Order: sequence, then structure tokens, then C-alpha cells
Amino acid sequence: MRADTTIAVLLSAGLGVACASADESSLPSAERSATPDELRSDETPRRGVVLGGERVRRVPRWPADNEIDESVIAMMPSSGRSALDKLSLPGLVLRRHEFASTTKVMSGHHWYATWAKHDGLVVTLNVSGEARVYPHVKPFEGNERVREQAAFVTQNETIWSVTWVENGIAYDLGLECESPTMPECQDSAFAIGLAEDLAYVGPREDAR
Amino acid sequence: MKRLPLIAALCLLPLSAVAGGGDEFSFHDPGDLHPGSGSGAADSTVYAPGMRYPMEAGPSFPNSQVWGHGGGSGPGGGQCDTENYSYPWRDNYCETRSWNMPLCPSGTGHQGQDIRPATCDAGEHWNVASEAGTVTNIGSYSVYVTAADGTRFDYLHGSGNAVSSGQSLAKGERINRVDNEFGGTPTTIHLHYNIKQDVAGLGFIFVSPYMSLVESYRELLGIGGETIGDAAVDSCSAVVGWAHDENAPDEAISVQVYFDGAPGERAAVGVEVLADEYRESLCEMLGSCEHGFTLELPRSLQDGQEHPIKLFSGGSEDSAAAEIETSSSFTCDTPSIPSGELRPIDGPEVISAWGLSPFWDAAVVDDATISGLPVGESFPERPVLVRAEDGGTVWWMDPGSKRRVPDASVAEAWGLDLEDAEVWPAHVLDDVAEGPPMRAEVFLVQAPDGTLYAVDEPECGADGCEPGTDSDGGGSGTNGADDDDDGAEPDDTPPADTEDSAALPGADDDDQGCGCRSDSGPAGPALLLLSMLGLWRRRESAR
Repeated sequence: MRADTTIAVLLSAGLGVACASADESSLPSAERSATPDELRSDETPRRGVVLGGERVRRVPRWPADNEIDESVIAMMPSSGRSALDKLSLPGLVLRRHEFASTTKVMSGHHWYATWAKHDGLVVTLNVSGEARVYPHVKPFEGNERVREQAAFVTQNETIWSVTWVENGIAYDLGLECESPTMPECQDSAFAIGLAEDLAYVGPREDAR
Repeated sequence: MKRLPLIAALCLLPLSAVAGGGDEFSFHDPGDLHPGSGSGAADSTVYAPGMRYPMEAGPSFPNSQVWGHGGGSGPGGGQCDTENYSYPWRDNYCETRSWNMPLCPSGTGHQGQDIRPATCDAGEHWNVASEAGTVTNIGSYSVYVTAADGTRFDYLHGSGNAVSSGQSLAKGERINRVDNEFGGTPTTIHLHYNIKQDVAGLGFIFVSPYMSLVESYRELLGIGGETIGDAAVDSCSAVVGWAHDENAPDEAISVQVYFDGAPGERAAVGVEVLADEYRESLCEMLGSCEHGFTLELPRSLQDGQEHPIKLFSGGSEDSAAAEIETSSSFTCDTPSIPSGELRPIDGPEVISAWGLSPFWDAAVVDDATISGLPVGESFPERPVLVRAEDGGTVWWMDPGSKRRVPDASVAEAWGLDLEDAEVWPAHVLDDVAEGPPMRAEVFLVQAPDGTLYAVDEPECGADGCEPGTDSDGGGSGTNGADDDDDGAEPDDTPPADTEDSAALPGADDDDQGCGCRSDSGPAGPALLLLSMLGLWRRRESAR
């Protein structure tokens, strides 16, 4: 419906109400409406606050096809391999055989996630191609370097998390130990090592 | 600041006034942590609007595990102490921890919110999906659910998982039960709940769940107001309307205007504005006058497509956001694109650094329109303003040239604060080539693949441009796209300077230089170096 049509409909409704009663405030709320003239104002239009942040797409910068690590793809389960072709973002996965061979790949329009489990360790990778802009949040670089990028490295209830932006998109690797006392979770080194060792797996230019 | 002035007002009341003996829902302000437990984030942002509360049923009690009864830094007693299971709620996002947290005032803190269920019983109360999504992790004491928009909701310390990794979940579907699982070492009985989002300028980080929990809890408890209102689009220039809460008839309330859907829906975008404008007509109709609003019509929605509008009350301490019965939609043509060249904006980090808003400022066009326009150098990563040590003109340092910021209104349009200008030696500034003034209007263009451009003055090419032949500084000329109101077809005519180009202050100065932007001359490297030095100093001082 075009704007002028909307206004016309509201005008009809508004006139109906105006004719029906002189004491509008006594009407049931569902019967109260306003004419376009009542809606219009001379006020300068304001900008409100965009709820939940303004969603902005990240435009990926794709590595060259010759950087795809076919040996890692070959280690992945068939379901994981077939899921790679559906990715809309540059795919990184764990290179080590024990994780690559158990990697599950899940994806949405502007994100994908991988999940792998081995010997009491669970490793997640969350990748996003859509950021949210919040006016009160200003850019701030993490004080660690991972994959030659500034990164945030943190721990949440002993679950390690390594966060960085690469290929124009946001990556987050998580490491959870079955028991917080396992050596891999005693410091950030193992989690950072996994992030550093991620392999590029496409999809190829002709598949995206 | 806060999304709800009404909430802010009520939360300033003495606690005893809102606690109500612990039976009636109330909450401390966001960032108001348990005394002695660190510096909270006074952040009233609802990061996940429209989400469902993560426990199946109330009551439920978010508060500190460490500083509450039964906690290591608590006042004594056990975790089942009735005070732990009473209102008011207490934020514990950013509570003291040694873990890095970019959104916490101290730079470190607790990543999420601890939530106790209705009773102090392990393995009894269900955690449920806050949004429809995919289970992207099952750990030994964690479950992650990723929603369609990429937001991740984390559920820690539960037991009896009813889901598996890769499974699709409906909103509200059961996940597991609240418990004390923590990798073999039990914790208190609670849900540790995180919301993780891709935030421009930072990356995929933990954001505060507190106000999203407040809003969804009011929804869970069915605490609603009785709000009426109406809205329509006036001449493709503004959304005009009014909103009124019959339970608070004289108060101006915040209203949420949703385009293209309802809260939580993938395509929906909601904007909150205070309905506080005087309308003579409302005085008689409502018995109270200051309930109108006039909202700018976002340029990104002026795209020739139909966009429905829904209205919701903004909610308050006492009531959840609720839909206001109204039905409206609009269709507006793509606005004309000012003449100039397109400068690519390289990612959300640049958008965030400049404070740009594609939603409000970007015309969404097709590839044909983009291909018909000249494309220049990337837009600078962040704004750098300088002035000479003897004061006077403030300049925006665009790599290769300095560009006059004509006045405070132009600075404001770009979200710049003239007081932030760095002071440079006059002789250094004098050596920098002068380009055309900063444009008065922020005009962005978005391509179908999401690439964003700022429309700016063309750069001087090999064939040069004559000094003084400014293209329009104020955006009065157009690139011909959609001049004739027939869609977004590009005009084959190259951008031309027009006689009615708005002359900005100083545009006819002898030293104005080229009408287009200069390419990097001899001063370029030095300027870049100085810019970087300035940025470094700024960043250091911000820490």
C-alpha cells in the first residue's frame, strides 16, 4: 500500500470517529484513531535508537583457491565436506586429524559454526558475516595477536575463547575441557594454537 | 542512554519502594552490581529484542553466585537462602573476574548473567531456547544455540540434555534442566547465560544479557500495559504517529516502530523513539496532549518495496513491550543519488569508527546503478580532525588532502565533535593540499552484496579538474539515478557540475584548490604518518 493510500484510509477512519463522538476520551481504545492531520506535525523528524543494533553485512575477502587445504577436507566426515560447499563465508576448520575427522559444520545465511570433539576436548568455531553496529560501542582492538590479527582471548567458566576478524569476517574459537583441570585448559596456549593452525577449506570460487 | 526513560525514573526510587517484599518483580539497574563485586556496565541496551526468557517458567532470580549467600565472597549461609530466591534482580555481567571483556568498564569481568530457577532444586527446572535456532555446541557443561541472525545463546551448568548438536530448535523448546554441572566440580544451582554477538569494531564477543532478560521476563510473566496508538508515513518524509498508555495517561511513553516484521523476526528492524511531542488534536481525544512522535523515514527503506509498520509500546518497569493495534505500510521510491564518486567503506569497523548508519543514510540500489557511478579510493578507516595551533578552521584529514569542515552542523551530521580536533603546527598543515569542503550531507549507497559506499567529491584524475569547479558540496546535484522517479536506473550522462550546486562557505576562496579531491601529492606520506601519530595518541589516551 502506498503512503498516500494509507493516509487516505486513515483519513476515512479518522473522519468516522470525528463524526461519531465529541468526547473521544470516553471511547473504547480500539475505536480511537487519528486523522492524518492529527498525525502530522511540524516537528523535525527524529532518529530513534535502532533496537538490537544495526545489522551490517561483512563483505568477505576470499583467499585464493590455491590456498584451500585439500588434505584437511579429505579428513573431514562426508557430512562436513558436503556442508562446506554451502558456506557463504570463507571457511576455516581445525587442521589436526583428531578434530578434522569429527568436525560437524552448521550454517545459516550469514554465519557458520563447526563443532568437534576428541578425548575430552570440545572445540567450537563460530563465524559471522553480519555485524551489529551499536552507537555506544567504539572500535577497540584486542591486545593479543592471532593469525596476524588483533584478537581478544578470554575465558568463560574455564571455556577459552579466541576472537578475531580475518578475511573481512569475524571468527571465534572456543575450547572446553571435560574437566577444568585438564592441561589444555590451564592457559590460553592450546586454544591459541588451534586458532593459529586453522586451515582454509573454501568453498571454491566457482562453487559460491 | 537507556531505552526507557520511564524505567530509569522508576529505578531511581529507593530500593525498598520497588522491592515490595520480594514477591513482586523488580530489578536493580543494569551495571548496579552487588556492592564490592566490581564495576558493572551501565548498559541498558536490549541486545536480543523479542527473545524468550531462557527458563520455561518463573519465578526466576538473576543475581550473583559468588557474592550471594553460599558464594565464596558472600555474606554466609547456604545457596538456598531465601534472599537468593527473591526480587529484586541483580546484574552480574562484568562482575569481578580476571577474564578479558572489552565491554566491561575495567576491561575484565564475568561474561554473562547467573540465573537461579524458581526453587533451589537441581535438575528440575527447564532451560528453553531464547530464539529459534541451531544447536551449535554440546559440551560437558555447555549448550550453545545459534539463532538465524547469528546471535549465540549459551546455557551453562545444565544437565539432562534434550538436544543434540546440529539440531534445529523452535523458540521456547526445551534444552536441558538447570543444574550445578561444572566438569566434575559442582557449582551452585544456576544457569550461566551468555549472549554472544558479532559487534562492529570488536568482533564476536559477549554482550550484556541483563536488559534482554528483563524485557523477556516481563513478557513471560504477562505483565503488559494498555497502550493505544497509530502511525503512518507522511509524504515519504517521516513516520508520524502517537502512543498513549492508559495506565499512565499523562506520561510520555517510548514507542517501538517496527519495519518489516515483529521483534525477533529475521527481517524486522525496530526503532525506539519517545512519543512526547505536543499534538493539539490529542488533547481532546486522549485528555492529554504530549504523545506524538515524528520519526525520520530511513533512506534504506525507500527502495520501491512495500514495508509494513507495526507499533509496540516500549515497556516499562511495570509492563512488557506489547503490540499496539495498528496497521500501516508504505512504498517510497529510491531517492536520487547526489553527484560525486563512490568511496567503498571497508567493513563494519569503519562504519563503527565513523558512527555511520546504513539504515538511516544508505540508499539501496542495484548493481546496474553501482556500475554506472565512478568509484574512488576507500573511505578513511576513521575520522581525523585537526586544527592549526593558532586556532581557526577545523580540517578533516582525508589522505592526500585536508578538507574544511564548514561548520558545526556539518560536523554533527557526520557525528564528529569539533572539540576532538587535534592541534597541529601551522606550517605542517599549510603544506597539505587543500581539497573541497566536507560534504554537508551523509549519503551512503549500498550494493546488493552489502558493499557500502560513501558518496563524495570525485578525486582529481589524470585529466585533472579545474580549480574552483566544485561538484555539489551539499548533495543538491544528482548522479541521475532515479531522477525521474522511475526506479533506480542509472543515467548514462556522467556526473556534471550544476549551476545550482550549493556553494559551501569558503568554496570561492582563492586557496580553495581543486573542486575534486587531490590525489596523494608530496605531502601524502607525511600526512599519513602524522595521521597515524594522531591516531596512536588518541588510542593511548582512550585507554
